[in-house]
Amino acid sequence: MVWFKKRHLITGFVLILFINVSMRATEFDLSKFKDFRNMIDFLSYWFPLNTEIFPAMIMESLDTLAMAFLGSLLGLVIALPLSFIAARNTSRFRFFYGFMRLGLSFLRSVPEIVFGLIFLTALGLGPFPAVLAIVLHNVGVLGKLISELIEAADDGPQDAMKSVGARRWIGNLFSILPQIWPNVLSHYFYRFEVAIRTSLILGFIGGGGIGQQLFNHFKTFQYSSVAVDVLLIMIMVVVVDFVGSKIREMVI
Amino acid sequence: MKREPVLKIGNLTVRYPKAKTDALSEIDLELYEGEFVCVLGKSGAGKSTLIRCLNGLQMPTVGHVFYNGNDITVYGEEQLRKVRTDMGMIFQHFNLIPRLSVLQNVLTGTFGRRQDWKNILGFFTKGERSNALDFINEVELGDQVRKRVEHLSGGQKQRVAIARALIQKPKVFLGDEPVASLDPGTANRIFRILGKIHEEHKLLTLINVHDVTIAKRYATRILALKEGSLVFDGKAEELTDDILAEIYDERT
Repeated sequence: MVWFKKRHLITGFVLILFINVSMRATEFDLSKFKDFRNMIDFLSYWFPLNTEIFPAMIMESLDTLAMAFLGSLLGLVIALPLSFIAARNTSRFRFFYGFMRLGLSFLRSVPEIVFGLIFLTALGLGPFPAVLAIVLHNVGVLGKLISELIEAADDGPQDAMKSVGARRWIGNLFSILPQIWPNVLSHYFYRFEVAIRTSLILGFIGGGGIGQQLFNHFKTFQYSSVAVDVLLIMIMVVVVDFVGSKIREMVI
Repeated sequence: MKREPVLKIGNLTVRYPKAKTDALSEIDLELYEGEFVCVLGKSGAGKSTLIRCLNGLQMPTVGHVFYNGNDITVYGEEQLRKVRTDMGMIFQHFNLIPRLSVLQNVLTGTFGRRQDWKNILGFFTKGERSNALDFINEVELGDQVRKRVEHLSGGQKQRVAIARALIQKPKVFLGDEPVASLDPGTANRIFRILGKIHEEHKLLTLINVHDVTIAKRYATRILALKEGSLVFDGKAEELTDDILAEIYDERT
């Protein structure tokens, strides 16, 4: 028992207690799988795929992709400068630092679907309100992640930029951004991937794209069309992941 | 006619927050154009703090630093920035900007004297580029111009840092333990280059160094610090074994 101390046992006990409470709260019960046959029957309705809707669904997928891309990219563009204010080592005034941290926490704490519902009510149905919802949430998430990267950056190059007489913001930009750029891209592509899934959910509430089609097909029991939607979504996520890792490799 | 010092330090005292003793204690110094000054002392003796006070990277707790007769300790950020453009500085860990090429890193040395929008967009005149190339050739890196700095050896990185400092056309050249991370051969080469530059440009050069032999070979004046106090200020030949033993608390 060289590796374990008494406090590890206490931690283990507390963990088991929480797992138990959570299982009760969520009615976690593996015995329910005795009716697993229903699931197989249900999935059998998914085949053969309704290939006729492929062209139309590809267009809807591209809408979803555009929503996710625009939402996450605008989120990054807005979050990047804000994150310099939200980082302890680059923020000029303590007040702005605290204010920005609070603002980013607020944006992060509101789920996209809530922003989506608000914007859909205000701006009407369609992808535009969904894009805005994705932008706002991503500003909160990316702002926090990037500000933490900024805080962890090596301060040597910042000293060098100060010593050549560069203005403070120029020095910060040039000394920090090149250091954190590969990780910023990593975070961005992950958020892009998440935004694809988010835009599906926003589709359910009228945001358009393949999410809305998936919801409609499901509600009208068109399971062979549902299968096409799910397949396209999977392809989309895998392609974005692949392209993202290739771009990151090129950047590094 | 009395020579005016380029840098004059009066009663310079630095105490870092939460420290129980002074990092520098009541230092008085006058440094003149054309001097090659090496600062000796054990780790923690206050060498880096002294160098960093000269270009305002560190502000003194008490005392003054005069550059060309003007007290820079009362300067605001904008005035300090202008002073720093006159002082090139190199560091122990080189502090280059990662992911940028040798040429790009050297060009960042001009940031203090250029408009911000030109720095951001990377607009450099033919003159500025050819200047950068001249300094890159001066530090014998003409064949590495387009290489990213993270692919260079330690000695090459320090030479890039020297070129970055030289493109500032500095009147003062500061070095914060520039050879501490390098092997003896490379350290000698760096000092040979620094010696040559000092000869050609007639700068006030002030460098922290651990290697007494190097200091004695290149310095026209040697300073030694012990526990934040100046314990020696004289010519290389005046630095006896007894004085060295006192500086380092042992026979060197």
